[in-house]
Amino acid sequence: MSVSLLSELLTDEFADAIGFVLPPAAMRIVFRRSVAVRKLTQAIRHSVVTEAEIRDFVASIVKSFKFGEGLTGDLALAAIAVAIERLPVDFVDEYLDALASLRLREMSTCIRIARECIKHRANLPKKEFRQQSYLRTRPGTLQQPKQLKIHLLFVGTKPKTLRSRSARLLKTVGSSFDKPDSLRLPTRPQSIRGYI
Amino acid sequence: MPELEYFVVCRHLSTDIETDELTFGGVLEDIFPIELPMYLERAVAISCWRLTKDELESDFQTILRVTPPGANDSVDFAMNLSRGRTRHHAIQSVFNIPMEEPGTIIFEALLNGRHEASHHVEVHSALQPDESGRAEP
Repeated sequence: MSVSLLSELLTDEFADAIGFVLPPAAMRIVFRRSVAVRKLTQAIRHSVVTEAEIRDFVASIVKSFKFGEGLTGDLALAAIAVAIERLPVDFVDEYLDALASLRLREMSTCIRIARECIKHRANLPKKEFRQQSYLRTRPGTLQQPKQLKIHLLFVGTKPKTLRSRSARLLKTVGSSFDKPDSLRLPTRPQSIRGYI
Repeated sequence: MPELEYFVVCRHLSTDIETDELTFGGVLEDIFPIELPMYLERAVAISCWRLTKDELESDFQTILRVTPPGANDSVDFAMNLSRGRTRHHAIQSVFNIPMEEPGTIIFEALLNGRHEASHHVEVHSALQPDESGRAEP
Protein backbone atom coordinates (compact mmCIF):
# COMPACT_ATOMS: atom_id res chain seq x y z
CA MET A 1 0.00 0.00 0.00
CA SER A 2 2.79 2.39 0.94
CA VAL A 3 4.55 1.91 -2.39
CA SER A 4 1.34 2.45 -4.31
CA LEU A 5 0.63 5.70 -2.44
CA LEU A 6 4.00 7.08 -3.45
CA SER A 7 3.99 5.71 -6.98
CA GLU A 8 0.51 7.18 -7.49
CA LEU A 9 2.22 10.57 -7.46
CA LEU A 10 4.00 9.63 -10.70
CA THR A 11 0.85 8.74 -12.65
CA ASP A 12 -0.82 10.83 -15.34
CA GLU A 13 -4.05 10.75 -13.31
CA PHE A 14 -2.35 12.59 -10.48
CA ALA A 15 -0.85 15.16 -12.87
CA ASP A 16 -4.29 15.66 -14.45
CA ALA A 17 -5.87 16.11 -11.02
CA ILE A 18 -3.36 18.83 -10.16
CA GLY A 19 -3.93 20.59 -13.47
CA PHE A 20 -2.03 23.57 -14.78
CA VAL A 21 1.14 24.92 -13.25
CA LEU A 22 0.19 27.82 -11.01
CA PRO A 23 2.12 30.28 -8.83
CA PRO A 24 3.64 28.44 -5.85
CA ALA A 25 1.20 29.72 -3.22
CA ALA A 26 -1.83 28.70 -5.27
CA MET A 27 -0.29 25.43 -6.37
CA ARG A 28 0.48 24.47 -2.78
CA ILE A 29 -3.22 24.87 -1.99
CA VAL A 30 -4.12 22.68 -4.96
CA PHE A 31 -1.73 20.02 -3.66
CA ARG A 32 -3.20 20.28 -0.18
CA ARG A 33 -6.68 19.65 -1.58
CA SER A 34 -5.54 16.64 -3.58
CA VAL A 35 -6.88 13.31 -2.32
CA ALA A 36 -3.60 11.55 -3.08
CA VAL A 37 -1.60 14.05 -1.03
CA ARG A 38 -4.02 13.87 1.90
CA LYS A 39 -3.88 10.06 1.84
CA LEU A 40 -0.11 10.22 1.83
CA THR A 41 -0.10 12.59 4.82
CA GLN A 42 -2.33 10.21 6.80
CA ALA A 43 -0.18 7.25 5.82
CA ILE A 44 2.97 8.98 7.02
CA ARG A 45 1.35 10.04 10.29
CA HIS A 46 0.33 6.45 10.97
CA SER A 47 3.71 5.06 9.86
CA VAL A 48 2.19 3.21 6.92
CA VAL A 49 4.69 5.11 4.81
CA THR A 50 8.04 5.48 6.51
CA GLU A 51 10.84 7.98 6.19
CA ALA A 52 13.06 5.30 4.63
CA GLU A 53 10.48 4.60 1.94
CA ILE A 54 10.23 8.28 1.11
CA ARG A 55 14.01 8.54 0.91
CA ASP A 56 14.16 5.54 -1.44
CA PHE A 57 11.35 6.93 -3.57
CA VAL A 58 12.99 10.34 -3.85
CA ALA A 59 16.33 8.73 -4.65
CA SER A 60 14.74 6.72 -7.46
CA ILE A 61 13.30 9.92 -8.95
CA VAL A 62 16.51 11.90 -8.66
CA LYS A 63 18.45 9.10 -10.40
CA SER A 64 16.63 9.91 -13.61
CA PHE A 65 17.71 13.56 -13.51
CA LYS A 66 19.29 14.88 -16.72
CA PHE A 67 20.42 18.42 -17.35
CA GLY A 68 18.25 20.23 -19.87
CA GLU A 69 15.29 17.85 -19.48
CA GLY A 70 12.36 18.38 -17.15
CA LEU A 71 12.46 15.95 -14.23
CA THR A 72 9.79 13.26 -14.54
CA GLY A 73 9.00 13.22 -10.83
CA ASP A 74 8.96 16.99 -10.37
CA LEU A 75 5.29 17.00 -9.36
CA ALA A 76 5.77 13.99 -7.09
CA LEU A 77 8.57 15.73 -5.17
CA ALA A 78 6.39 18.82 -4.80
CA ALA A 79 3.49 16.67 -3.59
CA ILE A 80 5.69 15.03 -0.96
CA ALA A 81 6.83 18.47 0.22
CA VAL A 82 3.21 19.50 0.80
CA ALA A 83 2.26 16.13 2.33
CA ILE A 84 4.97 16.31 4.99
CA GLU A 85 4.97 20.08 5.52
CA ARG A 86 3.23 19.98 8.91
CA LEU A 87 4.86 16.89 10.36
CA PRO A 88 6.85 17.59 13.52
CA VAL A 89 9.98 15.63 12.56
CA ASP A 90 13.47 16.74 11.59
CA PHE A 91 13.37 14.82 8.32
CA VAL A 92 10.86 17.35 6.99
CA ASP A 93 13.24 20.26 7.62
CA GLU A 94 16.02 18.32 5.91
CA TYR A 95 13.85 17.53 2.88
CA LEU A 96 12.44 21.03 2.45
CA ASP A 97 15.76 22.78 3.03
CA ALA A 98 17.51 20.50 0.55
CA LEU A 99 14.93 21.17 -2.16
CA ALA A 100 14.65 24.89 -1.46
CA SER A 101 18.41 25.38 -1.69
CA LEU A 102 18.55 24.05 -5.27
CA ARG A 103 18.63 26.28 -8.36
CA LEU A 104 17.65 23.97 -11.19
CA ARG A 105 15.32 24.79 -14.04
CA GLU A 106 14.64 21.07 -14.58
CA MET A 107 12.76 20.72 -11.28
CA SER A 108 11.46 24.23 -10.77
CA THR A 109 8.00 23.23 -9.52
CA CYS A 110 9.13 21.21 -6.51
CA ILE A 111 11.77 23.80 -5.60
CA ARG A 112 9.26 26.66 -5.58
CA ILE A 113 6.71 24.59 -3.67
CA ALA A 114 9.34 23.62 -1.08
CA ARG A 115 10.18 27.31 -0.54
CA GLU A 116 6.49 28.03 -0.08
CA CYS A 117 6.16 25.15 2.39
CA ILE A 118 9.08 26.48 4.43
CA LYS A 119 7.30 29.82 4.82
CA HIS A 120 4.23 28.09 6.23
CA ARG A 121 6.21 25.68 8.36
CA ALA A 122 7.95 28.58 10.09
CA ASN A 123 4.62 29.54 11.62
CA LEU A 124 4.01 26.09 13.07
CA PRO A 125 5.09 25.53 16.66
CA LYS A 126 8.24 23.54 17.15
CA LYS A 127 7.80 20.99 19.91
CA GLU A 128 10.94 19.90 21.64
CA PHE A 129 10.88 17.18 24.27
CA ARG A 130 13.37 16.43 27.04
CA GLN A 131 13.20 13.84 29.79
CA GLN A 132 15.46 14.19 32.78
CA SER A 133 15.70 12.74 36.25
CA TYR A 134 16.02 15.15 39.14
CA LEU A 135 18.16 12.68 41.08
CA ARG A 136 20.80 12.33 38.38
CA THR A 137 21.63 15.97 38.83
CA ARG A 138 22.39 15.29 42.50
CA PRO A 139 24.78 12.33 42.55
CA GLY A 140 25.53 10.92 45.98
CA THR A 141 22.71 12.57 47.90
CA LEU A 142 19.77 10.31 47.16
CA GLN A 143 19.38 6.97 45.44
CA GLN A 144 16.88 6.04 42.75
CA PRO A 145 13.60 4.63 44.09
CA LYS A 146 13.36 0.84 44.31
CA GLN A 147 9.70 0.83 45.18
CA LEU A 148 8.63 -2.43 43.54
CA LYS A 149 11.41 -4.52 44.98
CA ILE A 150 10.80 -3.39 48.55
CA HIS A 151 7.04 -3.65 48.16
CA LEU A 152 7.26 -7.33 47.21
CA LEU A 153 9.34 -8.02 50.27
CA PHE A 154 6.46 -7.10 52.57
CA VAL A 155 3.54 -8.64 50.75
CA GLY A 156 1.90 -11.43 52.77
CA THR A 157 4.24 -11.28 55.77
CA LYS A 158 3.08 -11.42 59.39
CA PRO A 159 3.42 -8.26 61.53
CA LYS A 160 6.16 -9.73 63.74
CA THR A 161 8.21 -10.89 60.75
CA LEU A 162 7.52 -7.56 59.12
CA ARG A 163 9.02 -5.62 62.03
CA SER A 164 12.20 -7.70 62.09
CA ARG A 165 12.55 -7.54 58.30
CA SER A 166 12.00 -3.79 58.23
CA ALA A 167 14.62 -3.32 60.95
CA ARG A 168 17.11 -5.37 58.96
CA LEU A 169 16.19 -3.53 55.80
CA LEU A 170 16.64 -0.14 57.39
CA LYS A 171 20.04 -1.19 58.58
CA THR A 172 21.04 -2.49 55.16
CA VAL A 173 19.66 0.41 53.20
CA GLY A 174 20.99 2.98 55.62
CA SER A 175 24.51 1.66 55.34
CA SER A 176 24.41 1.67 51.54
CA PHE A 177 23.90 5.43 51.30
CA ASP A 178 26.68 7.94 51.37
CA LYS A 179 24.91 10.16 53.87
CA PRO A 180 22.38 8.06 55.77
CA ASP A 181 21.70 10.83 58.27
CA SER A 182 20.40 13.17 55.61
CA LEU A 183 17.83 10.66 54.40
CA ARG A 184 15.69 10.65 57.54
CA LEU A 185 14.38 7.20 56.69
CA PRO A 186 10.86 6.52 57.94
CA THR A 187 10.31 3.89 60.58
CA ARG A 188 7.01 2.40 59.41
CA PRO A 189 7.19 -0.38 56.76
CA GLN A 190 4.56 1.25 54.56
CA SER A 191 6.64 4.41 54.61
CA ILE A 192 9.63 2.51 53.34
CA ARG A 193 7.57 1.27 50.42
CA GLY A 194 6.76 4.81 49.40
CA TYR A 195 10.15 6.28 49.91
CA ILE A 196 12.83 3.88 48.77
CA MET B 1 13.18 38.96 23.27
CA PRO B 2 10.80 36.00 22.84
CA GLU B 3 7.50 36.36 24.60
CA LEU B 4 6.25 33.67 26.95
CA GLU B 5 2.65 32.77 26.08
CA TYR B 6 2.05 30.29 28.86
CA PHE B 7 3.84 28.08 31.35
CA VAL B 8 2.16 25.17 33.06
CA VAL B 9 3.20 22.03 34.92
CA CYS B 10 1.12 18.86 34.76
CA ARG B 11 1.39 15.13 35.29
CA HIS B 12 0.73 13.87 31.76
CA LEU B 13 0.89 15.17 28.23
CA SER B 14 -0.23 13.66 24.94
CA THR B 15 0.01 14.69 21.30
CA ASP B 16 -2.73 14.04 18.76
CA ILE B 17 -1.32 12.00 15.91
CA GLU B 18 -3.63 13.66 13.38
CA THR B 19 -3.41 17.29 14.37
CA ASP B 20 -0.32 17.56 16.62
CA GLU B 21 -2.51 19.19 19.27
CA LEU B 22 -1.22 18.96 22.82
CA THR B 23 -3.42 17.72 25.64
CA PHE B 24 -2.38 18.44 29.23
CA GLY B 25 -3.57 16.05 31.91
CA GLY B 26 -3.57 16.57 35.66
CA VAL B 27 -2.33 20.12 36.07
CA LEU B 28 -0.29 20.10 39.27
CA GLU B 29 -1.53 22.43 41.98
CA ASP B 30 -1.83 20.45 45.22
CA ILE B 31 -0.24 17.20 46.27
CA PHE B 32 -1.61 15.25 49.22
CA PRO B 33 1.07 12.64 49.96
CA ILE B 34 0.28 9.50 51.92
CA GLU B 35 3.61 9.88 53.64
CA LEU B 36 6.67 12.05 53.60
CA PRO B 37 9.37 12.00 52.43
CA MET B 38 8.45 10.69 48.99
CA TYR B 39 9.01 11.42 45.33
CA LEU B 40 6.91 13.17 42.76
CA GLU B 41 7.30 10.53 40.09
CA ARG B 42 6.81 12.76 37.07
CA ALA B 43 6.13 16.39 36.30
CA VAL B 44 5.88 17.76 32.77
CA ALA B 45 6.60 21.46 32.34
CA ILE B 46 5.44 23.13 29.15
CA SER B 47 6.52 26.61 28.18
CA CYS B 48 5.30 28.17 24.95
CA TRP B 49 7.43 30.93 23.42
CA ARG B 50 6.64 33.29 20.58
CA LEU B 51 9.40 34.91 18.54
CA THR B 52 9.29 37.77 16.11
CA LYS B 53 10.62 37.31 12.58
CA ASP B 54 13.69 39.38 13.47
CA GLU B 55 14.57 36.87 16.16
CA LEU B 56 14.36 33.75 13.98
CA GLU B 57 18.12 33.40 13.64
CA SER B 58 18.97 34.34 17.23
CA ASP B 59 20.01 31.89 19.91
CA PHE B 60 17.83 31.56 22.99
CA GLN B 61 18.07 29.25 25.95
CA THR B 62 15.21 28.33 28.23
CA ILE B 63 15.78 26.96 31.69
CA LEU B 64 13.35 25.03 33.83
CA ARG B 65 14.33 25.59 37.46
CA VAL B 66 12.94 23.21 40.06
CA THR B 67 13.07 23.93 43.78
CA PRO B 68 11.60 21.18 45.97
CA PRO B 69 10.19 21.94 49.44
CA GLY B 70 12.87 22.17 52.09
CA ALA B 71 15.71 22.25 49.54
CA ASN B 72 18.45 24.79 50.00
CA ASP B 73 19.17 25.10 46.31
CA SER B 74 17.43 24.44 43.01
CA VAL B 75 18.22 22.37 39.93
CA ASP B 76 18.24 23.78 36.39
CA PHE B 77 17.23 21.92 33.23
CA ALA B 78 18.33 23.83 30.15
CA MET B 79 17.02 23.64 26.59
CA ASN B 80 17.92 25.68 23.52
CA LEU B 81 15.19 26.95 21.21
CA SER B 82 15.98 25.79 17.70
CA ARG B 83 16.19 28.45 15.03
CA GLY B 84 13.81 29.15 12.17
CA ARG B 85 10.46 28.97 13.98
CA THR B 86 8.26 31.69 15.38
CA ARG B 87 6.71 29.45 18.04
CA HIS B 88 8.31 26.95 20.35
CA HIS B 89 6.97 24.47 22.84
CA ALA B 90 9.67 23.50 25.32
CA ILE B 91 8.37 20.32 26.94
CA GLN B 92 10.46 19.01 29.81
CA SER B 93 9.66 15.94 31.87
CA VAL B 94 11.36 15.72 35.24
CA PHE B 95 11.28 12.47 37.18
CA ASN B 96 11.63 11.73 40.88
CA ILE B 97 11.45 15.17 42.42
CA PRO B 98 12.04 14.65 46.16
CA MET B 99 9.46 15.95 48.62
CA GLU B 100 11.00 15.67 52.06
CA GLU B 101 8.55 17.91 53.91
CA PRO B 102 5.35 19.91 53.36
CA GLY B 103 5.87 23.12 51.44
CA THR B 104 5.99 24.36 47.88
CA ILE B 105 7.62 22.94 44.79
CA ILE B 106 8.56 25.93 42.67
CA PHE B 107 8.89 25.47 38.92
CA GLU B 108 10.36 28.50 37.18
CA ALA B 109 10.75 29.29 33.48
CA LEU B 110 13.78 31.39 32.60
CA LEU B 111 14.87 32.78 29.27
CA ASN B 112 18.58 33.46 28.87
CA GLY B 113 18.82 33.46 32.66
CA ARG B 114 15.98 35.94 33.18
CA HIS B 115 12.95 34.91 35.22
CA GLU B 116 9.78 34.83 33.09
CA ALA B 117 7.17 32.82 34.99
CA SER B 118 6.67 30.39 37.83
CA HIS B 119 4.28 27.61 38.75
CA HIS B 120 3.86 26.70 42.42
CA VAL B 121 2.72 23.29 43.62
CA GLU B 122 1.65 22.95 47.24
CA VAL B 123 2.79 19.81 49.04
CA HIS B 124 0.47 19.21 51.98
CA SER B 125 1.13 17.32 55.19
CA ALA B 126 1.20 13.55 54.98
CA LEU B 127 -2.07 11.73 55.45
CA GLN B 128 -2.14 9.63 58.61
CA PRO B 129 -3.78 6.19 58.38
CA ASP B 130 -6.33 5.49 61.14
CA GLU B 131 -7.00 2.13 62.82
CA SER B 132 -8.98 0.81 59.87
CA GLY B 133 -6.11 1.63 57.54
CA ARG B 134 -7.88 4.55 55.86
CA ALA B 135 -5.84 7.69 55.35
CA GLU B 136 -7.17 10.89 56.88
CA PRO B 137 -5.64 14.33 56.51
